[in-house]
Amino acid sequence: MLAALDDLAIQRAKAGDLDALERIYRAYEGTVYTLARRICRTAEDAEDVLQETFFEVCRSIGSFRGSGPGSLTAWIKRVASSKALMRVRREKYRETDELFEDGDAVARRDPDVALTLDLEQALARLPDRSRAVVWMHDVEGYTHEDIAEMMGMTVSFSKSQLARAHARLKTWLGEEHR
Amino acid sequence: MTQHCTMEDLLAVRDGEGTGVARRHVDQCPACRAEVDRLHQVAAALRALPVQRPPRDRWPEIRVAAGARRRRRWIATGWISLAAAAGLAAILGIRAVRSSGGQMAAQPASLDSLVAASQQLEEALRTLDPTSRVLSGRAASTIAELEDGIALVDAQLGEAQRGRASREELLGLWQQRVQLMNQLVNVHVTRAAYVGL
Repeated sequence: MLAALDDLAIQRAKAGDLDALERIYRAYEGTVYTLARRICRTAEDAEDVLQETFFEVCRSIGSFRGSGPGSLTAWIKRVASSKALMRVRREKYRETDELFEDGDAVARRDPDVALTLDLEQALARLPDRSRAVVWMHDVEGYTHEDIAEMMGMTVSFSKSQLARAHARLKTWLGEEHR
Repeated sequence: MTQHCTMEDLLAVRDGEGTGVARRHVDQCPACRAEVDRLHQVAAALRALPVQRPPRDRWPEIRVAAGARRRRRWIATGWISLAAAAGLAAILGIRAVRSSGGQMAAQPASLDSLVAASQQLEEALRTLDPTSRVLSGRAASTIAELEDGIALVDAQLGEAQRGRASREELLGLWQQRVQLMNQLVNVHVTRAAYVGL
């Protein structure tokens, strides 16, 4: 889908062409929503992050200095990450563990599906800030320095959150597969 | 290192950032090496989780907001040459609108008066020429949030007018618009005063 975006579409979007902006939205809505959904607690929050991200993309793309879809992807993800993390900081999300209710017996019929669901469930079980750090670091590829800056915390906080999260995931995924 | 690595050490080794001591330990310890492999697999499995789609299409609202902002910006650029001369008049005008805003709170406003107040504020904003001013990060963020709010109200007004919303709904939306415009103009007035317009 991203391949459909070319430099010309980006230039047109920078000039304020609404059709070109829509092409960018269509190309990235899944990427942005997935990132937001993994970081935020609720689907509603993730939808709000999606909307806020593209408000900002439409507003600021004229001053975007990168060229090509690669740098556009990085920029849009950065905007989305900041919006999602700001929400995590602002909303006083849960800091204690909430155990995820495991009633998904159907998924166990297919081992591959079960593995995916188990991992998603385990991820969802993590405290909000730990989950955000895991997603930002292990999936989006941000450094601990980047994450610390975006979350307004220290680098050692980011590292320790990642370590604690992986220790918990190990326990939970191990329990699931016993 | 005689003890096994901590989780933080193992993650650092996985990410190519581990200390020499930790890397050497992982090379020599089958248990820690297996743990680093497992952490690689977890990261790969996380990256392989399916892409999710929003439950409803958000583009129509974003499009209206982007279109409204574009129109506002286009109009604003036409006033650049008048900005400096009209700045003081704008500030006085805004004060007048502020005081009429106080009256609005005391008694129910008519749709016409809200639309007129909104237009007056748009006019004041254009005269202040906000696009030509350097802003601090905090001011830029506040302005962006207010502009987003206005764009969203504009989108809702568009929808309301197409869907034949009730008079109360329209009044509520126009009231919101005037409040947000007032706040936006106030931010720019403060900025203008600060830089000595």
